[in-house]
Amino acid sequence: MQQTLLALLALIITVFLSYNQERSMIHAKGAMIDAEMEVMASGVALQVLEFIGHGAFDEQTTDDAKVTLTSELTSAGSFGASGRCDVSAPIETTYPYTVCDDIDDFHQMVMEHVPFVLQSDTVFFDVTAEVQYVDANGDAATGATFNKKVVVTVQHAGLKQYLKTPVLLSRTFSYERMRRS
Amino acid sequence: MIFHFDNIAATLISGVIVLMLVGMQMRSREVNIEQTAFVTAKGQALELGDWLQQDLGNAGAGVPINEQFIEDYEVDAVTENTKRFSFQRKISEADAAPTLITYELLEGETIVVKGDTVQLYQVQRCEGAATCPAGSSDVNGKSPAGLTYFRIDLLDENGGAWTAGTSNAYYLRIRFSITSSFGLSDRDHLRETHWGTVLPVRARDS
Repeated sequence: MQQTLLALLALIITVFLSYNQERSMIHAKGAMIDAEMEVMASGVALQVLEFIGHGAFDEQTTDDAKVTLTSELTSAGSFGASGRCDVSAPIETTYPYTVCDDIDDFHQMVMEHVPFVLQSDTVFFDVTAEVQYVDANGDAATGATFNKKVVVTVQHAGLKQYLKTPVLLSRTFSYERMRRS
Repeated sequence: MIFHFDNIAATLISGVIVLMLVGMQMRSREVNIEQTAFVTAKGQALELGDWLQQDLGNAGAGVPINEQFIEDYEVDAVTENTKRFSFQRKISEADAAPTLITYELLEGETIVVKGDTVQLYQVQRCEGAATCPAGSSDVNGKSPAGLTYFRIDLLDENGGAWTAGTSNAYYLRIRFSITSSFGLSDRDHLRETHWGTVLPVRARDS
């Protein structure tokens, strides 16, 4: 009887070991999926940043107009276009590029279901953008400066979010580099 | 008698334990192989992506503003893969003139995954020719041979499809998928890794 009891004890321990192993494998596969989603989300974030940066630095600098004083720039409180700016392709016909033509028009932009197209499937992400003035050190500035920092946040769209933490990507656009000579 | 039955019962239970341990060992090995294959494919994808970013990110470099630098762009109508993409760029600042760079997609072997046949591809890069000449010595670079999808899109300023042929678009969107060259089984969940980015075109005045 003793041997049977000891064998049963060994069986119980083995069942626990198997359970823990399955849990660690699920965790490892979750990490792999998370890594995959991060790369795709980074691609989406880069894409959105490129489209946002294509516009003029400020409303006052559209049509190649030049600005020499920071007081001429749009105040931070007025960031954001009158409508909803969207850089997803195809672009919203309601708010064409003639409206969303400078960087701060995309402040507090919310884009849902931005596609990352694969060959046989498409993964969708939700993207938000924040624009703020920053100083030469990249710190938030209280007033207008010739540097605007765009922070794009990308999260997997859908009821079940396979991206554990949203991907944040930021880029600072400087008027000095964007100014037309 | 009780002693014998005790022995038999313990032996049977021990047998079950051994089978469970063997099963755990095999499952653990499967997952390790899958992880290794995934990490390898991911490393290859990131390296290829970095290489494409460096090269295509400078497409049009050294070409006068608003002169055409995209020379050829061919897409497979069935698979939607980009079969050929040729463009001009200066390799280094000291170059007297831009060099013609060509990316060609070559078909490789096929693999079977869950009963489906998957065609693998390889991208090769060559300089100074509109089509890559035959023979590996004339090629200036090759991607891993496990590409399942490779696509370069030309985009307009709004991120929509570029409809003006090979004239200079505003953006290049690059996407590809790579599968591992080993260790694939029907029980694996992640068989491909994907990469994509959008690059602005340099040879434009706005």
